[in-house]
Amino acid sequence: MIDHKNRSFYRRHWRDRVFRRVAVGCVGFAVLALLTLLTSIISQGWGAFVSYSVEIQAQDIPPNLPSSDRAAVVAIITSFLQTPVASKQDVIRLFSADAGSQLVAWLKQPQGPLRLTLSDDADMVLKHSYQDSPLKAEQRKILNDLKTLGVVRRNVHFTFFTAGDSREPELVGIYSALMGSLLTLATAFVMAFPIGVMTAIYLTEYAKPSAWRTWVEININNLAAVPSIVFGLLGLSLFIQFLGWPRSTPLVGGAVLALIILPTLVIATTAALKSVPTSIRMAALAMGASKTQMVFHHVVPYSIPGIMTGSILSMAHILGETAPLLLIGMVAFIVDVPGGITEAATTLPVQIFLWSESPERAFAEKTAGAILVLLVFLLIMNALAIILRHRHQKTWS
Amino acid sequence: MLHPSPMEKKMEAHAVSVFYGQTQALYDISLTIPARHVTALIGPSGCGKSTFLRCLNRMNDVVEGCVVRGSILLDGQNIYAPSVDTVMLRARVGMVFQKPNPFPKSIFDNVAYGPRIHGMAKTKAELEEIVVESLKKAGLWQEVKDRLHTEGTSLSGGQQQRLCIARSIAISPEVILMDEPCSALDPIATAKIEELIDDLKANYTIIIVTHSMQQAARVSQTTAFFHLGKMIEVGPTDVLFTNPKNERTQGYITGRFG
Ligand SMILES: Nc1ncnc2c1ncn2[C@@H]1O[C@H](COP(=O)(O)OP(=O)(O)O)[C@@H](O)[C@H]1O
Ligand SMILES: [Mg+2]
Repeated sequence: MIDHKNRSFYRRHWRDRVFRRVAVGCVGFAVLALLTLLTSIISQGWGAFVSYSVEIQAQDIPPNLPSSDRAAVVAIITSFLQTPVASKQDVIRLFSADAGSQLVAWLKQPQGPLRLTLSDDADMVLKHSYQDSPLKAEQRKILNDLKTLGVVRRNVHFTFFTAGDSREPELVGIYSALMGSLLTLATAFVMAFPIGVMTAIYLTEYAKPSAWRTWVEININNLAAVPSIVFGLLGLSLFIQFLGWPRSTPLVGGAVLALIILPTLVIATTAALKSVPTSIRMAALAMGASKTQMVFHHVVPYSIPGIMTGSILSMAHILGETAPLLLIGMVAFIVDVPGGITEAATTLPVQIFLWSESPERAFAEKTAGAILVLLVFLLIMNALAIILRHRHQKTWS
Repeated sequence: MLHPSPMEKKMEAHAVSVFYGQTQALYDISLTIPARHVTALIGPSGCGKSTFLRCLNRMNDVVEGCVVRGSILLDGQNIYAPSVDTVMLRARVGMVFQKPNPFPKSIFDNVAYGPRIHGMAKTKAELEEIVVESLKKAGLWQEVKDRLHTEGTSLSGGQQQRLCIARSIAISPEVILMDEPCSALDPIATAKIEELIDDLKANYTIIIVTHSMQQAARVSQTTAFFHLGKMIEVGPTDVLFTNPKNERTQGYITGRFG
């Protein structure tokens, strides 16, 4: 008897230990996967936030520069190096396409040193010392000489935050895409929030239980599970082909994203409304409040933290949405910040998608850098949702 | 002198039956509620005390599938008449629930809510006066006067229940319905509420549901005994407890079932 009990005792303990180890293993795996993802993205993406440029002091700039800005850049560099260079092309290709205009701007207003951005190939060689770089041996020598002379500087690459898309990787930035995302998200929110919240209020507070209400609720839940690309197709045929709205714009993108978050928003709002206890509703009614007063003086205000949390999370959800936007043509090459919701725009995840398809090596780090920015935004939004939920957790007596 | 006759009738129930869907919860209840009096409803759990109480301010209207038959008069007027607005009725017949249920708002806003929606105060000063008066009548003023703007839910259970009483007093009801107002409270808080009920009966008609016979004996002048959806016996509290006519009443008050 005792022996039997002992055996079952050990077996129970053994099971307990096994379960614990498996659980810890799972958590460890999840954390490891996350860390791997983050380290990989950071190690690839840090380069997007720094760039190399050549800084020449004013006194080192020769007088009588050639009138062509590119030739002038070559003249400045060759005079600074004080060694003849075989090919002017080799020199100019070390610099960004922007170098000429940087010189022109500096000549107009010569303040501090002249700063010339290096080309993406030169930049990548300085960051990673690649052996298989497209740079020629002569170009590498020039670069090395400049480095030895101490004029190659590493700077924070503000361009990445202030510019739009470009053909040249060293000139691209996420600003236009970020603004596009903002406009698209704002459009989606303005369209989805009132409809979603009113629907949820009507369904939970006013609609009598009926087959019809059940049918609507089931369909809303089903809609939440529809793949987002289907909404993209719907947007394409409904908003662009049928209603004739301008394609590639935050208006259409926002409308499609609004459709995507609508069910989520309804479900989150419904949950928030239902979490207001019956006792509070009874208290309001017994005070002589009408049904609508009960709903709008009590139930809705007490649900606002929950509704906000749901809204922020659904915004975070569509911030990363890409596929449906590709379908409605938000894949345009956007240099400028969109001036309104009816102008062509792109969004951050779509920009990431576009860069990821570019062959230049330097676009890889821009892609990873933009992903980092996207992750930071998602993190902020999720943190905000968590803070809101904790800070405004209601205690119902 | 306890029961000056003829007693002024505040409410009268005539042949009230209540159904929850197919099941009948109350059978032909007829009961007269005297004005400025405490009437206690006692009986074993599930016998329909709360159901009857909810008939008196038509809170049963919001219960899905609940049907009320018969008539209930407030000052001689049928509250189930089609012309009666439940908003107006509930402004006259207040209710305090079993579990304290203050709004998650400040103490001040809890009490001010009723006067605000019923437009009882024209100025801020008037509103403040109503709030202070109500808190004083509910015996809570001394304890909360320095923290009127803290959340009502931060108070202790007994204070919350007195806040709920203050909240219903604020709209100057004529009748206050209390559904086991002390069942969630400790003995000290209970004693305070009982004392309060005793004070309030000078101005209000009070109907209290209680599962404690001692409480009924302490606070009420009239007691009605309910059993299985029927009202078995009603009479002056002292008579009903010392000399019950019905053997089921006697069985209940002597603790043979409950
Ligand atoms: N909302 C409801 N729906 C259906 N049945 C109910 C409801 N409320 C009460 N009942 C039933 O009515 C009877 C009386 O309940 P109640 O009035 O709460 O009793 P008491 O307050 O005396 O304990 C019980 O049988 C209970 O199950
Ligand atoms: Mg009850």
